[in-house]
Amino acid sequence: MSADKKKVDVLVIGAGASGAAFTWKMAKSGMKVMCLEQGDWLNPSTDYSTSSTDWEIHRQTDFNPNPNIRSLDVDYPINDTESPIAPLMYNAVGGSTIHWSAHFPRLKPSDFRVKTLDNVADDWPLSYFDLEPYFALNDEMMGVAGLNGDTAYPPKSPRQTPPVGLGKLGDKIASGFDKLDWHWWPSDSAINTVEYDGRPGCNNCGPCDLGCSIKAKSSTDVSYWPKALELGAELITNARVREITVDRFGKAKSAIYYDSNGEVREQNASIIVLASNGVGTPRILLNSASSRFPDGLANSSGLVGKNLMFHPYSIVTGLFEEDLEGHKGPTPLNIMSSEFYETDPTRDFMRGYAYQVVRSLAPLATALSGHVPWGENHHEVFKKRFNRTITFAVIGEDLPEIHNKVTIDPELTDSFGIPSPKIEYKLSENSRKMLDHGIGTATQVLKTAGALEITHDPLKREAGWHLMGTAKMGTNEDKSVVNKYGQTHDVDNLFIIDGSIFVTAGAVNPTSTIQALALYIADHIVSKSGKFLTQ
Amino acid sequence: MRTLSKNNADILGEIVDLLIPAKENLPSPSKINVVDHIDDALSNTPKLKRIFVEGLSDINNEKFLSLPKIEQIALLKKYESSNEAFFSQLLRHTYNAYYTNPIVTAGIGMTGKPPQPMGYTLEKGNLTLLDKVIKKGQIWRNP
Repeated sequence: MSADKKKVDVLVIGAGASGAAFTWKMAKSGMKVMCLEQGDWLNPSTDYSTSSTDWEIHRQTDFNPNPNIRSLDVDYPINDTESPIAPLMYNAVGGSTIHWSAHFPRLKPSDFRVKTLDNVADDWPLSYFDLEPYFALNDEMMGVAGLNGDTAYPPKSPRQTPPVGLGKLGDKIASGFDKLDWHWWPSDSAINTVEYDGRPGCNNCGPCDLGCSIKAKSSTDVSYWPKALELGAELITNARVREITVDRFGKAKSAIYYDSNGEVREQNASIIVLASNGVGTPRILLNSASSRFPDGLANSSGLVGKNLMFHPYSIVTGLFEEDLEGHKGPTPLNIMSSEFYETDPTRDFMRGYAYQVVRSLAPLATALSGHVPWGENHHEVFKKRFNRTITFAVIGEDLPEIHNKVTIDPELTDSFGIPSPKIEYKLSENSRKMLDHGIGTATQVLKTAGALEITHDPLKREAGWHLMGTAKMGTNEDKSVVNKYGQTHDVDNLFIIDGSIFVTAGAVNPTSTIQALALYIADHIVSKSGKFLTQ
Repeated sequence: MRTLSKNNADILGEIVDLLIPAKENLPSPSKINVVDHIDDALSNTPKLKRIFVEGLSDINNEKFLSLPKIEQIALLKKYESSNEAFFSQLLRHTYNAYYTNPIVTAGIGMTGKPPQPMGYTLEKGNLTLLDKVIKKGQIWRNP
């Protein structure tokens, strides 16, 4: 084993959404910070498929968001046979922001107080307003397209660029919301619509999920990372972390990782920070069991890996008569509705859901949608569907449940022999009722807007984008893994900054909140750095 | 070099033209090298190759090429339900090849070019429809 690098102040594991934001903040504060990333850099100009005619096929293969399907060398397999939702992620500098759709809503104030307001789950140990300055800083760093004034949020700082265009399709569905007098708003997106921060405006090519070759979409490899590196942060790619070691005092000492040649290396640090997502982080902690921590590192509560939350999605699609030019513009249309977000005691479920409105399927996806027959009628039916569908993704708030969990699979490993995670997840009755309600109301909007035909998928399997809750935050050491600053209760120089620490999930995409939390935690660590660095 | 034998490639060529018949400005798959595209896909995936070779062999046993078109279609419908593993892959790879061909993507009303580098022009949309939302005021719940 090699230990050829000097001890650093802070070692971050994972270069995705949270790791990038955190590392930048550390470097800006003058800390000696290093990040280990198990993937590699991607070159937006050459590594993305959107300039090739076969771009849609890459969604099925090497750019599929499901690591089990993608099966790249840098991925680790996940046993998801006991989950109706498949966990999705990407391993590279930028992490899952490489293939995300860049929806950038924040959790709402009520999301942080669900116990007090609705007597479900737990309150967060911090509030929306504690995070507000960090939301604003993160928006500035990522670059957010949006429209101020959304009535579903407290006032926000000015958006960096104007909202993503609605197009014909957006106008069509907005007319449905308007007739029903229901809330809708162009949602915040981490996509430049005009030039910002040295990156160009979006040219509305469509498939954000295949990587943005012009860098208009703010994946952290093009937003945070160049700035972090300029400030002196060190980023080691192809560094696959196996475990975190502790010293004789029970403090985090180092990360053991495999480099690109398969050689085992050890990196020592004063502070170790996990930013490896809601599946990867519990995997590392559980793989770091030792005589001192036999149930896994930082797991005296027994909650590492427990309370896994996805956002369960129902998909409702309306077919319209006219050509809506649905292939133009970022695929996620960037309309969100919060009409049914907050708890309503007259409904048969607690908490609520949002809609994301999605543009039409691309040509190949239209043909493969299951609605277009082969044979004589193929072209006729294709023509009636292509560019003419509007899809509602009903995104429900998944409440934490102890039996939904990440554990270590007894047999499965990655290509380096590191034990892989297993997911066990059951959709709760509350979530099912919530999604059923959402299917009904989404159908109502689509009908009102003039849809000829409406179909739905009650629970989309390939939709485990958001991985949360597996190392939850809290004040009670027996009922949580980390405190309000992401510091593990058991090991005081070990922090977690990714979606693992979410107490509840809200009903919106989590990345904006994950990054704001990372910046908030970074500020705390900087303020206390004297304590840690003298140890 | 071909992954499929000439006979299997001939059968596949006949099949893909039945799956997606030519119409107006949209060519038949055999005219735009769909069989070659599928052959390439099979060359990288032994499991997929086995599914295709076995499926095409079954169809060949029915003397597919010598059947009248109406019976060929009936036979394919039978395989669609009796050999779902093969048929779903057959459809997927036929569509993969067909709908990524620039002649086809132009024929369905797109530019015939990939999304980048040109992208598309997108209308800003009618944001005055937000007036009613704004008039209703705050809906977020203040804890």
